[in-house]
Amino acid sequence: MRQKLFLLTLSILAGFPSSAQDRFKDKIFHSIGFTPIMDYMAAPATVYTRFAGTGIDEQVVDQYQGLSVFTFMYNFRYNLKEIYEEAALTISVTPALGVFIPYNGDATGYGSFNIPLMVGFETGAGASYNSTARDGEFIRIGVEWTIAPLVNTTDETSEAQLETAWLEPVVQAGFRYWNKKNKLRELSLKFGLGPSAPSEHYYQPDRKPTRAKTIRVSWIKFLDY
Amino acid sequence: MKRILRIIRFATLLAIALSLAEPITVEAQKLSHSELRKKRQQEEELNNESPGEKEEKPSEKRSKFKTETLMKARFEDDTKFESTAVPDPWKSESAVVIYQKQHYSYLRNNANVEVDEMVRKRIRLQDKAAVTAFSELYYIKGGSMNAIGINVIKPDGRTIPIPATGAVEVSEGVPLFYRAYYQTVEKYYKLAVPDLEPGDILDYYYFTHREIGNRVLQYAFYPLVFTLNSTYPILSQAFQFKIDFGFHIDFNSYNGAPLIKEGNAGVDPHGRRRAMIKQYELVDSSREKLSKEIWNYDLRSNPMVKFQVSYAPEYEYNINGFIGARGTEVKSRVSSTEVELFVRPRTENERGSEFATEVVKYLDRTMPGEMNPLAIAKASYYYLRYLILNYYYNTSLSESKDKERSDFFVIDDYKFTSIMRQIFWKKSLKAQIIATVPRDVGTVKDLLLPGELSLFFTFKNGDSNVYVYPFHNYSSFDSHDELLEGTEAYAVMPVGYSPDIELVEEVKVPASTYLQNVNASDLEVTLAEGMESMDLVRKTSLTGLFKSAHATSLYLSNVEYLQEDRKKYDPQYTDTAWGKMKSNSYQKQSAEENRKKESLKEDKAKEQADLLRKDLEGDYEVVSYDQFEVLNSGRYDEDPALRILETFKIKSLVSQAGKNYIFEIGKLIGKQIELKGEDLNRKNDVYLPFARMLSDDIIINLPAGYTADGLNDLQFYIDNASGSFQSSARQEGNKLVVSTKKIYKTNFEKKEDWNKLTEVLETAYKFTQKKVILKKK
Repeated sequence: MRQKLFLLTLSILAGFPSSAQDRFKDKIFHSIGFTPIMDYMAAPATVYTRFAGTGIDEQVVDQYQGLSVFTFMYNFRYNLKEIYEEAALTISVTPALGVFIPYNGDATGYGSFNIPLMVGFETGAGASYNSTARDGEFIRIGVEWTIAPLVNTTDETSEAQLETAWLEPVVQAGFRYWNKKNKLRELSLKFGLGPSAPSEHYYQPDRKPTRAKTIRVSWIKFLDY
Repeated sequence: MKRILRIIRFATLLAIALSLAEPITVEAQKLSHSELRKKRQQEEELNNESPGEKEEKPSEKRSKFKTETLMKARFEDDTKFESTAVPDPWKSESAVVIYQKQHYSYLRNNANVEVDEMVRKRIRLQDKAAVTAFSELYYIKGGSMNAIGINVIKPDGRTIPIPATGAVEVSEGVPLFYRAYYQTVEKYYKLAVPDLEPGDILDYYYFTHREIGNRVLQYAFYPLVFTLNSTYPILSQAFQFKIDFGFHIDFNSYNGAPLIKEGNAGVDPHGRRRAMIKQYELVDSSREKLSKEIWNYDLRSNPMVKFQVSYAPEYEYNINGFIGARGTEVKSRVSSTEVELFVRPRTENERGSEFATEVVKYLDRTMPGEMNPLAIAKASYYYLRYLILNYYYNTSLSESKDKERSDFFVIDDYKFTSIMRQIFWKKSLKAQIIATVPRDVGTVKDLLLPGELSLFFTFKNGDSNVYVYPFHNYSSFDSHDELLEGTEAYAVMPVGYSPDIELVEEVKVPASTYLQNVNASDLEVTLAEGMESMDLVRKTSLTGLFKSAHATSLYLSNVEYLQEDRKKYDPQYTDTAWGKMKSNSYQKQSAEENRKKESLKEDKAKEQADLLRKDLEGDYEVVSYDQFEVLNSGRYDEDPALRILETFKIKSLVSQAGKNYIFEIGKLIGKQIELKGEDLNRKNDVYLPFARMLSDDIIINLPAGYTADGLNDLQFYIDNASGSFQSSARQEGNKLVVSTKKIYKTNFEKKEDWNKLTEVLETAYKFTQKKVILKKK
């Protein structure tokens, strides 16, 4: 299985012989989308020592949390198995770049990058290029890697050097529909759940640590469909 | 509930999927690297047919590649294009289309809809006439991408490519054979094809690619309406239509044309074969050339096809078309209920309501308490015409826009019926809208495309129905429409009736009679001493459909007659509100405008004189066209005849024979139809323009001292169910008095009754061939 996945990846990079490429092309789906406001990210909580060397040496837990005001994403999907025209098992990857703004006064930064790799089950519209359904649904599970903020602007001398990247399991569900202009659109909710936050340390009253997570509602437009 | 069912379906499918899941399988083609390189090289060579040409830009390469790929993918594998043979019965034809194929595709891309047209024709030229005809080849160029390719195949098998250089754009004179099956054509081009000879095969294709923006939610692509016959016989032909997901398709075959057949799933612009892309094909063979019979509507007499693709979002009912279920149904019939549902939103009360309100105010002011529907309808018709024409001609928009105004204005039928309906509703009178299909297109039972539908208005006056057609500049209340009268129709949108009346009724619209459509000429002819030329004074009186048929472009091609309307309805009228301004700048501007108006008027007068002369030349050899005057515009009920006075000179119809003169007197009634050989064997039903009467009362002033011999030969009389012709001639002093009357009694004859019409036509023609001898006493 692993070897076949490796071969598949190599083939994508190197290009297939033409006929196989055609068949491969028939199973590939591209789409782009965005999320306005509705992309929430909470990085894993970090425990650090505040006022070190002053005798107070307070253990503090803190994390980056915030919203991306606008996230742009690209989705690449491959149909591993087309059960019939209206149902498929898929593998997909959706890199997303966001204008993430954390609400944290001590550690600063901006931007986000998130890349989930998921396997899924898709039905109806968009499940395959031969679907003729008016709408469709999907569910996907996998892992995602997130870096938020993407650009860390926290002063190097600051004690609040917080974690910005993490890997976590993710689940996504959504539905597809043909819009009024006869284009296939997709609306989905993605939820990733990361490591828990330690609760035994002090935290800022207005920034109660929470479990690392990502929640995103995204709106996707299919390309060449 | 629907959502729950969908979730259940989803869960079931998920369970099935998990049980069926298999490892990834990738079927790679077993080609070695060297084989792959060789294949790619071959493909590159194929796509660069002229390696010696200058290097193309990447965009040009892409465009060329796409064009060629499409052409190759569609037609090059069709072996019918290799055929050269023509069957024996068509060996004597001037040219024969061996095979033609036309492909239309409507595919979505990420932003737009791509509409491609691919046409290839293979024609065998069999005589000199064909060589002449095809030495100029026309093709369509439109949209964002085009291609054309022309080959001439010589009888010895040599193929000579013709470069498509030097083509020139043309807007007129495109022969029917090359014309598109749709109205929206960006450009026609004409190209010289040199060195053609009888026996050559001309094989050409063209391709156009258009992108229709998807900014609008509803879109009806241009309809294709065509006969399967063309100018030349067609041995074999195919029409293909490829339609992407989500579009509505209207299609039907008529008059014995084959039905459309659904084919395999189509291929999208990225080369993927997809079930959602439907393909349809119509295959046809052995079609004779189009008939050249007189009074024939090609769309009524020949196998014919209508096709249209449109798009409308789901749950959108008020769309501009008759549509079936999206993507799954080819709509081929339109019911009367659908017609009613289509007409209703387009003639509801808000359309033209400002005009309706104005008309009702006028009625209340000038005829308070009047409840007679005929009186109301007539007054409304004329006042509405005044309002709209005044608005059209006297609202100054800009110089360029002012010039664009047509001399002929006809009100939109939907607007007209909507306004009339509102007036009747406000006056609590009963009325209906009539929806029908012009008779040159088909019948209302064969209606399929929204553009075929025409509307007019009807109401009851006592026991009889009155039909009111949309007005134009020159019409009067009783004016008919020759393409709409006599048709089967639906009466829809009842107003003022009790609620239990049927929303749609089938009706037969009466046709006008020959007594309503009269062209009467009083012609005074003076033979000059020496008999070299003839001075003619002609008074013509036109009523009914003759007014529309002849007056529109000839006699009233300026808008002077609008003054009549103005005097009647608004004597205090000033040209514009600005007319009251007295400032110097305005006066200067006004003088300039007047000068331009005068200049425009002179140009139009000259144009009109040229047209009139040209029209007259259809009947006589005109020496000079001297004078023309409109005696009555015929735009009102009080005197509905359009009367014209013309003075002109024609080449003498008199020639000397010894001491006498031969006078081709019959030719004074103008040219008549001459039937020869095949014309007598009618193949199609006869669609005459309208029932009509043409009369000529001719007085010929002879030079003093001459008498006419042979007047008895000018007495003709034929009368049957289809028409009549009668004539008489006598001499009174030095005047010859000749009268003729020709009547077409109906606007339609079955082909079996053609002989009745031919009797009349031949009699009239015989009259034109008659001569008398002028003898000096």
